[in-house]
Amino acid sequence: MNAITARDATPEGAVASTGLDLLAVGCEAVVASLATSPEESVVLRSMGLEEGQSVRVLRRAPGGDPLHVRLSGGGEFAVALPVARSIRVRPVDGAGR
Amino acid sequence: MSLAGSSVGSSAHAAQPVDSPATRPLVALVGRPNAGKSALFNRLTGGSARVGNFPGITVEVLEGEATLPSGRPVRVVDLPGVYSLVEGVDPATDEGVARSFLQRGGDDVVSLRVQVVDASRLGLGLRLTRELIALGGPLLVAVTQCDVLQGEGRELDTGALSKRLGVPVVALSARDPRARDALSRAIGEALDRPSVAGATGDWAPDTLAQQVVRDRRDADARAVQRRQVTDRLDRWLLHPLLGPLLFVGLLSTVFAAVFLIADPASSAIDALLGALAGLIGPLLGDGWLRSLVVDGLLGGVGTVLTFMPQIVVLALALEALEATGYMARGAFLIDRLLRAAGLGGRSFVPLLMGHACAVPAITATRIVRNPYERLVTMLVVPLTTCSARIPTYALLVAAFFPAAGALQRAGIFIGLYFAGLLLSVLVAAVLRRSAVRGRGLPMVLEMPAYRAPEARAMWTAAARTAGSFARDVGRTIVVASLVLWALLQTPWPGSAAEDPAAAPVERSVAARLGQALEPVTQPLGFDWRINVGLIGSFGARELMVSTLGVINGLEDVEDDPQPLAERLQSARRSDGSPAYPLGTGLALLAFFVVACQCTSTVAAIRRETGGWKWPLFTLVYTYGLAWLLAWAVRTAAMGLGQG
Repeated sequence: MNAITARDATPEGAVASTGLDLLAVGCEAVVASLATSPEESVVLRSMGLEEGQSVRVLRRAPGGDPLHVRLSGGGEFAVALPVARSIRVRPVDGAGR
Repeated sequence: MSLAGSSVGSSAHAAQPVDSPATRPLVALVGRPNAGKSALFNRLTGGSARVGNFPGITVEVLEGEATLPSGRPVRVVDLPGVYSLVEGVDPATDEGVARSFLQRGGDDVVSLRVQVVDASRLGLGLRLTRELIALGGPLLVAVTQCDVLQGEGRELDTGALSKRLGVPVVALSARDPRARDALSRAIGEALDRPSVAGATGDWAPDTLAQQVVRDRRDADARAVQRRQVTDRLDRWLLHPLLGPLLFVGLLSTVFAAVFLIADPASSAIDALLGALAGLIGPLLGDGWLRSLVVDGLLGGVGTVLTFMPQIVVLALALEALEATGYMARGAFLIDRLLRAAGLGGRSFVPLLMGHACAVPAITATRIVRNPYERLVTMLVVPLTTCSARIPTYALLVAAFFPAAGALQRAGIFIGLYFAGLLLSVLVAAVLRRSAVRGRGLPMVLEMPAYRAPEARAMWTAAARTAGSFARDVGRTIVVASLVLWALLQTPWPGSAAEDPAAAPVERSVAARLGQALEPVTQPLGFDWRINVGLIGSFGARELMVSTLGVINGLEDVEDDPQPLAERLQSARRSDGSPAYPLGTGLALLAFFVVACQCTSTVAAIRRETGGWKWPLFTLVYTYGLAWLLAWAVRTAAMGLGQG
């Protein structure tokens, strides 16, 4: 976690975003943006996966895909890896430990 | 609606001239999937639910009646679960259906929308609330699962929530019988209140949810522990190694239960119908009328009824998996596999349902949002081992594996089940790369919290499945068996003069058709008798066993297939070699695994796709593939000296 934040830190001190797929199990991050098509974004937002939500990776299915995530809003979702890749998140420092 | 309304009528309120079903207020329940909407609907309407008839809404929407505390009757509809009402989703999916229902005009408009919200996932539910408020019109928010919230040491401030939303809010627990009164009172009050203007207010769903759900002061350690139940169960049920094992084990248990429970029940029904035929038969004399009623009509009805126990047991099991929240876990575990086949995690539910009957499963594909995935799911559902295949499998296994013990037979059955499932996934993979190409929407699947299932709701769902099976499939089976009866009874013109020694059935139209098919089926080892069985099972595959019985001059083979199995074993060709060697039996099994021998399924695909293209495609590809697979199996068997 710390290694990622140090390496990806921008000059302004803000943490650069990364794909949700790269988040380790147990780690928490905030959704920064959705790099999906407009229709896909509509579906994701309607389910609760939207900018500003905190998301924690609970586990991965056998084979590493999909991810089982929990939102701060209370929902839990299975997110397929290709979708997770296009959900850009900013890791919350030190979270999930 | 006025037509349907007047035909339904109302005896209870006949005294009130003003009231007629068409003028009663229409209340629509709307909410996210898993919010507890159906439980509340059942609570509210008692047992009065039936499939509603709404112009422009082509899919089944359940409608029931409820009486408000004022004595005023209302109609209640249970809309499919939706996450959002925004445009952009296929109108044929659940989301699209709910949206067009809420936005439709005409005489039969929705008087009140009741949004059912899961208290434990309030923030997510409030996103839909925001959309409903923006849509305008009267709205009532019914927060359910409040007992769960309370059990976890939390409580909801209904007043504060109502004030912020600007719409009435009622807190409920669907499990609690008092929920009915509380909800109908709230509906009555909301109906009397003037319409709410569409103003979304300045609240954010998650923040508002955090503000109105508070920890109770008396929350003890056990209550706090209850919040972790889903987490702890998931640790086992989604364990990387144990999870998949438990999943396969659970599915095997469900299929085993279908046999162990449903089989004796089916036999009992069969025996009962046999007794009935014995009673009625003598009254009808010895002619064609007796044959029509006993063999044609009772045979057809009996076939439908003997499937009921299997349908009910599997529907109960599936409902239990759904209600507990396990279904989503199963989808999570096999999502990767299904995605490789071009399907999605949601396709898993219809594929599983197909193991009872493909017809309700094809309706269930509506929960698959991606139109391409949905279509392919529909096209491969007929490959799953529906309960109608079981009698034929049982006969063929008895005939071609006479030495097999109970355990080996069970093994063969499980093999056939997994063969169907595997094949459906393989065919889906091919179709998604050929006939039905198209990009999928993002695969995101909600994982609901685990809940104890409610027996009442399970029974309601099972009864509904059984009812729609009797209606959709039953009709087809009865008609198909009557047509088949006619084909078997009617002699081919001039055949009596050609071969007077032959039994009447061998001179029938059906037999001639079977003989005409021999060039096509000869590479599979099927003779004209088996072909007649295949003709019979074109309409409904469950007719295979009885047709083979008739063509072999045996009666009541559905009750006891053993004599027929022995007849198949001992049948000889003119040169003295077995007419049906093992290779032919295996080829026939393979044929039955693949072929879509079910008119009801074809009709269901036509209804869901709105045209003849895909149902015809299903017939052509399944019969073509069935022939190929049967040929391959027989060729392999002959290579091993089992020709």
